[in-house]
Amino acid sequence: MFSPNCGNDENSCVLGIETSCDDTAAAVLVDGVLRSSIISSQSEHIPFGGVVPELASRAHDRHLVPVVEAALHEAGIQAGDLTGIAVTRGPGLIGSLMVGVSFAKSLAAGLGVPLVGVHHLDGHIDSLLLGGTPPERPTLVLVVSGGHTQLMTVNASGERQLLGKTRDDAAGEAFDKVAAILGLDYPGGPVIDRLAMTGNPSFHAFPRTRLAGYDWSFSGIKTSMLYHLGSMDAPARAAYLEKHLQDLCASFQEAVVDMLITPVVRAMKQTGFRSVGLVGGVSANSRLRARLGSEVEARGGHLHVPELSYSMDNAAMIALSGCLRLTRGEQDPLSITAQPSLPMDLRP
Amino acid sequence: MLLSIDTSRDVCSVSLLDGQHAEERTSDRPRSHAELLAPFVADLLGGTDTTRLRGVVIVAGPGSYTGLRIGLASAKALCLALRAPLLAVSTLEVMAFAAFEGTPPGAFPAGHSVVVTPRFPARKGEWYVGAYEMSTSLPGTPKGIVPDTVVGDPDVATWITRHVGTRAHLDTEHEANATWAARLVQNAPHAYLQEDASSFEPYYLKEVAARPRAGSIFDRLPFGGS
Ligand SMILES: Nc1ncnc2c1ncn2[C@@H]1O[C@H](COP(=O)(O)OP(=O)(O)OP(=O)(O)O)[C@@H](O)[C@H]1O
Ligand SMILES: [Mg+2]
Repeated sequence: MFSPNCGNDENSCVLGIETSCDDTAAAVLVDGVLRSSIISSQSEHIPFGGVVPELASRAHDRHLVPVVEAALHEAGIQAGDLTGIAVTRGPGLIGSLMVGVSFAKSLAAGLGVPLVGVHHLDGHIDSLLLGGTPPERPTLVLVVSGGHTQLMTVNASGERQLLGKTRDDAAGEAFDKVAAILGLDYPGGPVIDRLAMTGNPSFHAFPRTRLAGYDWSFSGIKTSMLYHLGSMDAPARAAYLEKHLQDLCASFQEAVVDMLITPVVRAMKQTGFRSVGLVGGVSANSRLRARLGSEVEARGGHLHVPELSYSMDNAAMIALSGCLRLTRGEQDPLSITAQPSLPMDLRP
Repeated sequence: MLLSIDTSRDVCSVSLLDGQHAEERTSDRPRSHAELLAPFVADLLGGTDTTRLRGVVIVAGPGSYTGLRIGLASAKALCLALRAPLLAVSTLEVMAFAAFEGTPPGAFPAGHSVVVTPRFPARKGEWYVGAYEMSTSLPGTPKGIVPDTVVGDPDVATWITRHVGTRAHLDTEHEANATWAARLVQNAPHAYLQEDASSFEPYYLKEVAARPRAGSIFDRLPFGGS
């Protein structure tokens, strides 16, 4: 496994903790090398068609210690060996974040080791450093997940700049909401991806909302699907979906992918950057990977996509991001708290 | 030596109890638990020989869901860090103990037992209530008569009468705190030991009120459909 240089001269042993939404995750980096990454996904929310915050908080509280113990065990270390704790501080669901942050702070207090709070998106961006060869810098990074859609640059020293973001729904949210309209299970992204494989992407022309600069808007396409189907009565709609579900999935997905790609290509032109990263849960989308990959390569660039297990919410990226900060000599006070809408440039 | 945490209600308190000597850090600033708990713990543990720690006491509920989780997540982390067992105690039991210990000697006839009914408001016109038997002659732990529960405002009096009967009675809203919890648990630590500490859950006493979505999204549209 690739070893980013985040160990000090002494031995470093960092535990990462991630509880921002509905996955409970822990990972261990020993001398900068990832030794374990455990993810426990909560299935409690499926009947509700979305995450129920109180259920998520309760489940994190139940699962966190077993997940941390599994991560320590798999890494072959004990809690007493840890030299630092990294935890997702935000953004995310307040109750979920709070379980991880409270646990991490007291663990750091009990062990007498430094603590760092990590921005969830810093984690997603640093996931590009996990595995394979790290992307060249400067890098253009497209972050697409259930809660975020934004385009960032990362310069040679790792500093980030925001180029653009969604003004309403995130791309993953659009997938999930449209899946709900189509009567598919939550989370809808993977289901739509699978159904779209056998559908016709030009079956229906969903509108592509295009904004100046690098921003996005995904609320229009959801409404468009709703009105497209809402104009029929129930039996007609059922028959229509029976026949064209795959086509609708493929057409919707194609529109989202078109919209996602446009600002990235524009930014490649404007910045001259050739190294592009794709991170966050929606990076799992097969059509997005293929289309963005060929667009980037057509311009002499290279697209980096982390392994799926490091793209979805995970703690390996949090451990790594925290480890990089610890190596720079940074740490946070034990008084830090979970911040549901933590701004990215916030340096506590 | 016991390290004790209470974040179940408005006050955040952490206490280190060594024999009869308690060192306590406490704050009644609203919603300060998440911020202050870990600094309190670090402050109390600094300069302490933690190998003497016999357990981490948590006031496990009922109480504010968020508060309970802040406290429990911290307590679990401390158990892991300090290799100490988790000792969980009911908020209401600590209240009963604190209230009874606080009554002046002779308040109740010696040699009899007293039923203490601790209670505090839950949300939506309900109360968290408990009924514990305390002995006037034996020092020690409250004996739960019934499991802690939630009772609607109009039914509290009936509930209490039903469980007190004709015995001596002490009704109380005396608050719990970390030191009272530690003193109570110290009398009989094994009674509060959680063998399966890692997946232990707070005593919420209430299920999550969420209903699966029924019907189709189109039923909720202005132009209808089905
Ligand atoms: N193959 C796929 N195609 C499209 N979307 C997908 C695919 N796989 C997962 N997703 C979407 O990715 C999202 C989950 O990703 P991730 O776990 O990174 O997001 P999150 O944690 O909900 O949000 P955030 O990271 O912003 O807090 C969901 O919206 C899901 O539908
Ligand atoms: Mg995420």
